Amino acid sequence: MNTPLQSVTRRRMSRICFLAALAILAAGLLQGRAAFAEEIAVIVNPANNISTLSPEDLARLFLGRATTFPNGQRAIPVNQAPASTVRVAFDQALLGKSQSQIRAFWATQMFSGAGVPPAEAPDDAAVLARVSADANAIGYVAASKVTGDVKVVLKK
Amino acid sequence: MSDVKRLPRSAAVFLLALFASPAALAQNAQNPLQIYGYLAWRLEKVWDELSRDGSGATVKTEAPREISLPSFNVMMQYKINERFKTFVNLSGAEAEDLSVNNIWGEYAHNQYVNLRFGKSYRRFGLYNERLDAVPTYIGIEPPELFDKDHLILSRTTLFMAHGWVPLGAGELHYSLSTDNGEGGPTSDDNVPLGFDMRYNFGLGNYTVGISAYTSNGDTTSDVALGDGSPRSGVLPWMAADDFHVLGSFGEFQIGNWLIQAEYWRASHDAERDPESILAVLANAGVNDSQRARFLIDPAGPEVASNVDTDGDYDITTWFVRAGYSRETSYGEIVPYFQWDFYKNPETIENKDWGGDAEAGLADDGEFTKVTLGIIYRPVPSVAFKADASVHTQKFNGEDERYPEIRIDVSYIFGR
Repeated sequence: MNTPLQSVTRRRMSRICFLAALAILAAGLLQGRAAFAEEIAVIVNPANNISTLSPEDLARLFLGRATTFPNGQRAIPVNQAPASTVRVAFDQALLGKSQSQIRAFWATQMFSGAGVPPAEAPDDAAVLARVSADANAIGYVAASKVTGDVKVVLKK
Repeated sequence: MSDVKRLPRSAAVFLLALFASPAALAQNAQNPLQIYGYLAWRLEKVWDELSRDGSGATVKTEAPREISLPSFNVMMQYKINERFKTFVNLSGAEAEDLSVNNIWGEYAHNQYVNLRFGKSYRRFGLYNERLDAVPTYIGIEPPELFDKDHLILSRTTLFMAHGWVPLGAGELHYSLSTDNGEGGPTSDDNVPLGFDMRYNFGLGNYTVGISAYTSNGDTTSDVALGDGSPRSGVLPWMAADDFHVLGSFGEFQIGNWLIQAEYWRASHDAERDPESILAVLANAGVNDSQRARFLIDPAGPEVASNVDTDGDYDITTWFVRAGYSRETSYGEIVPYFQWDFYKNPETIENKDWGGDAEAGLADDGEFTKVTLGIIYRPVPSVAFKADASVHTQKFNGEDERYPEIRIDVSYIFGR
């Protein structure tokens, strides 16, 4: 049997929780994010003999399900920094996941021992440098930043 | 499974967590050794807790608030080379001690065949292992399916093969395993088998699958009667139990929504041990329904000849949950809903005698739990969660409900 004081306390707690949830949701709905307007180019080293890569194969490499290119060559994916606009656009457009969904995905992988996320490079220039220097590397940059030192295998 | 190492309460736990801050343990994915983990604190409050008074009438009491450190986990992945890796998960429930949850090594032959040997989470396939391993997937509160009170899943030492093949626009994954059984003496030389098969499609955003396990013969509990609840699938008052588990699951990432559902059924072909049943009746405080299951004539004397040794029973459980993730400049917000159902008619409430506090409380071993909650992650490594649940079950012949609220804070380090 609850005392009147307990009932009042419970009602107050419910009201506070409800108002807090409402405030948080309202704040969230007012926020937006700047979009990445450019095309994304997925790049590999010119020594790699693949010429194209399907979105499914790309997702397998960047989500840790595959460790080799379709031609059997070892693959080392290179991600961009999590907060970068090109990374956000890549995750959404080519992996079909938001930032939080990507974090949740890697949490499941890491905590169960299934794998760890790819290495990260800080910007387009660093990704270009890594991919041009490593025959097994695969990365992505803004399409306008592509140089002759890498080969484009997918654009979106 | 035995604990490998015990440490003084909290000292090692908090020091390790303190020093293992994200900055201190910022990892490069090329580093072969990765160390990370999580801590979770909980404030829990239950109202209208159900019990019986001396005359057998229902009594509802307000339970005191509980503050706990329900989980502390440190994980280490070490990639020896391109084909071999090892994984260790040390866990400290309530920060009392550290025990080894998982320790295994894996050889990756190719995408089709990976071989794992060691102590692992679940023998019901990799989907549930991954789902169970994460504190803040949708919510910190796990489905009843993963509750340690419930017997449907357990931890064991196993040998597993797993892999995947491309199929259409997706991938067909499998795992096949055998393990060291329940830990107790068995009358047969069983070879338990577990498997799961699941299809990932839509860039991995959709998963459907099935999973199964068989003890492949009679087996017994991993704890003696009176030594607490078993961690295996067999109740301690069974003389023998041949059981089979079948489950199905689905997960769908649709825009900002994540929807998960599972259904499981465990069928036990079991035989009760009369002397153990008499000990339970004398010491564990069973209710009338449980007494009626255990005895041929519930009104008759508590003697071995009156014990019903036919202990066949089925456990059924399912859950549905959905969360909506919203990214804001203040962090991520995830309101979520979860609906659990669990039924185990054979269990009792008293955990010291091998029972299950939730299912055993109900007259018929059946309860539902509806949960509404919200998670706020100001930064990816920190989550605050508040949720409220209502348990519904039949108690003393009446439909009774009791509410509870939980406030959790979790901190992921080393990422």
